[in-house]
Amino acid sequence: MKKKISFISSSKYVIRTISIVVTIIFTVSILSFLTRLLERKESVIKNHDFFEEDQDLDILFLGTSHVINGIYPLELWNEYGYTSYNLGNHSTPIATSYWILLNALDYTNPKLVVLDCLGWQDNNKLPEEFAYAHKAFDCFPLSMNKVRAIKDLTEDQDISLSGELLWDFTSYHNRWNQLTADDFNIPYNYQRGAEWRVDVAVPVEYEIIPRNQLYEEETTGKLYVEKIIEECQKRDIDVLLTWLPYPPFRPSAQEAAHSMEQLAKEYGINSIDFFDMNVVNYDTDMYDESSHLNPSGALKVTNYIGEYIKKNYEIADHRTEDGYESWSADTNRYFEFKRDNIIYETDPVIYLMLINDDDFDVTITWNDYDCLDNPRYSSLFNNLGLNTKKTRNSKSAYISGKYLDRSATYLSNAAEEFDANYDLSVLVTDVKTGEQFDNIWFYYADGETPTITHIYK
Amino acid sequence: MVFNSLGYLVFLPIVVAIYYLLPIRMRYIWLLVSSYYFYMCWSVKYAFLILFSTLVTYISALIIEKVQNFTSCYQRFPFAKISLVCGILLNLGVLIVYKYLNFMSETATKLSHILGANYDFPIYSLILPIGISFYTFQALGYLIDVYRGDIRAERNFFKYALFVSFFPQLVAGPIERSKNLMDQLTCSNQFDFCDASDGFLLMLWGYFMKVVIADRIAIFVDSVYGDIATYGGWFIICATVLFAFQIYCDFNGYSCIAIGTAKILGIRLMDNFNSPYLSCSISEFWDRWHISLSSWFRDYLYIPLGGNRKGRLREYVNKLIVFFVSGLWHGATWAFVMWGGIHGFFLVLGDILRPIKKRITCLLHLNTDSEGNRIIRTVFTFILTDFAWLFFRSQNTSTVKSCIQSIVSTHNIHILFDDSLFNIGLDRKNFTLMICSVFFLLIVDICKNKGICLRRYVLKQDYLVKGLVISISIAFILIFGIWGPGFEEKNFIYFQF
Repeated sequence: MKKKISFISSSKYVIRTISIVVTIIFTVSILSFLTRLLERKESVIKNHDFFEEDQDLDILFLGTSHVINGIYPLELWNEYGYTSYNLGNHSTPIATSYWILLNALDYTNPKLVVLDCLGWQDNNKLPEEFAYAHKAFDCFPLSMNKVRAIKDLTEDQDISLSGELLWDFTSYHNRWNQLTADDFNIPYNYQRGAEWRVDVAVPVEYEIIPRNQLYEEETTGKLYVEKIIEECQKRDIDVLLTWLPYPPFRPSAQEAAHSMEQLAKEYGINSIDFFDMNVVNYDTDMYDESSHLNPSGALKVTNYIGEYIKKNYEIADHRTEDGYESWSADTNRYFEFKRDNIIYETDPVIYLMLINDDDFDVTITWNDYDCLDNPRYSSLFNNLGLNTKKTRNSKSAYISGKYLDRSATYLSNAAEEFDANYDLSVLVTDVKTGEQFDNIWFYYADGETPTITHIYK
Repeated sequence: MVFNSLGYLVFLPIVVAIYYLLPIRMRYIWLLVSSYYFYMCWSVKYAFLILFSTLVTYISALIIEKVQNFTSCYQRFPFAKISLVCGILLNLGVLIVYKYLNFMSETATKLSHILGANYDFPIYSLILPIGISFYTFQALGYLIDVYRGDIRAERNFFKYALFVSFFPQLVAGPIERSKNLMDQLTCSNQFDFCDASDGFLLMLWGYFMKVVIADRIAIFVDSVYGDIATYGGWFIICATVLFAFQIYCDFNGYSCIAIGTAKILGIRLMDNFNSPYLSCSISEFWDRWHISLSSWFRDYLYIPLGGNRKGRLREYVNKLIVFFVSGLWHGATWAFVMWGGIHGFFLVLGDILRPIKKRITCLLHLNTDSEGNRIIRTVFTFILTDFAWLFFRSQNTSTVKSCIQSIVSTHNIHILFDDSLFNIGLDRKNFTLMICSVFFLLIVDICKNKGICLRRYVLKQDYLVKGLVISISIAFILIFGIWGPGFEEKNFIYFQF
């Protein structure tokens, strides 16, 4: 009898324990699922492919939105066969970039880290807009490095912020009434973290200051640049410091860029200060007046960095190797994306900026040259590699030029090839396939809004 | 520390775990320490007020019992009564100073201006210690019980201190009776899985009411009452109807969490609400609403005043006094007094009209037991209580006046049919969720009223179903609750009393 009672009470105990365990398992499972469903997808969309890589990436790019919009990893793959990921994050202080790197190094072992030093002058650790801290860390699974990152970045902040980053459900639980199809079929960014910003802005005025002017203040930004360099050197990873181009209307930015170069020399590493170089043309290559590059500018910067890496670092070309099929597939998709941007663009300024791309051949047939009186259009044609000069009688112009491998443009007064009301015709050819995939007629008249009309083949 | 905070969710498991690990004789000490820690998370210095109230009533009770044990009748009564009165006055004195001093000053100032003296009485910056009305009444109840000989004075100071400061019910009730709670605090409570499960489910229900319903309604109600000039007429009516559910869910939510917490610790607290909006009369409403307070007033004010033993007129006067005092207990403004007075008036009127109602019912052959009749009386009772809630929510007489004027003069019933209601803090989905949650609450209350306890029904299921129900409930509360960044932890409404 005693044994029976003992058996009954011990099996009751077992069942109750199982009951508690089952409840906990159900609760954790449901909450894990809901955490993924309800969270804002920006971080996952941007960085999903980073976690899908089977092989180590060659290069990691770190920095702010200047990096996100200024460096295209798929272009580097296409031209040089380098695998890279753009881990830039909006409004991100260098301290946050440091912890993004440390978390990323749990998943890959790159040969080179390229750090854009915008934020050198900053003493903040977290982005001012806390949503960007989410964008930086939401995609990373919980790990010791993530905990350390959150602890370091939120040490002077309210404890609730660290709770938010550790378990983002606390932030996103009330998104239940904002769910859309994209929350279920997530449109991952296949461009390896890069994002296009498409526009052509009029840049602000600026002055270049002497190179000996340095940013003397010791800042948190500088401290974390040093930490990044030291961490990479500890792991035998090369570091390249950059200051991506934008109109440097604040002298302090140029001073900081000069200090960056000095620091690079002290650590025996390379640096590129784009302020002093003419890699980009601010009249045609800026998305906004003082900050971000548009695709034309980003292509120039990406190509420059690609050439620089080719000359100064030993990184293999993987284009013919097995195991990189997804890179080729995504690059093809990226080409489709570039073509679609051109085909569907209706703004003449943006159109002329977009076709400034090595992957496309541009043939321009001229009927009238009035648009060359407009400095904006003139600079856009110059950007395409054309020297443009209108003659005094304004009925003809000297236009010629070659940009890298692009074919020369043709001078023509032949109106029969296209509608005589239009000033010029632009034919865009895919260099790889030879397909002439877009043809526009450009209309320009003083006092009227210029237009383009797509004539598709 | 509030119940709906992360701190409490960390605090409670630690307290429960250590409670059951400790030897039985040490457990109440641990609860006492935890209770004071719980209160001191809000304010260390005001914990001394609880200690003061505890000391005064502890000593007074001992004196009363000692004196009552004297064989000489002459020596017995004056000292016991004096001790009782001193204990009551000292405790009420603290309550009056912190809660009513400025109210009395403002009232005296207004009176002096009306009378032409134009004297401004001083206003003091005093913070109302949370829960002071609750623990003061709890301590006074004990003192009066000792005086009446209903219980023996507690000699163990720490046990008595725990009775006054027991954390689940310290800041917003239920106001417990010493007969029910005192001995439970030191009896040998083994961990009971069924009680703990029931307590946990009760807590979940409390969190649902507070975080999903009450705090959501508060967004709408606060927006309307915060801008009556813009949101007049039917906006105020809708807000007041919703406020009835806000305060019910807020207060009952707290009570459920308190009772659930105590149950996990093996201690049974009294029920504080019993589906009050299913009442068919104001009298029945007060049998179902804030039961611990209404029974306290009945036992310690109404009955000592004479109750219904001194004639009809005196009975009505006593009821009015009790409800005016109840209104004053809830808040130190004339709006609260009026709220209490309105309920007292409805109660007295109901009593006066009862014979007339009975005669009419007979004449018209109405069946008062039919569901339809019950529903009509329930709705009518709700309308009366909701009218009184307007005073409660307004919190001052000028707002009451503005609200009533707006309701009478603004004709905007169309807001019930267009999208106007979805632009006041809650979008359509949130508003719909709020309405659905209130309906669910009413269904649960109707079930409870019919003797069906959904909680017990869930607990009877096998562990897989139970686990699923509990985990889905937790997920539901976490998703749809008003908490997290952008929402401050909303204090429970009754904390301010």
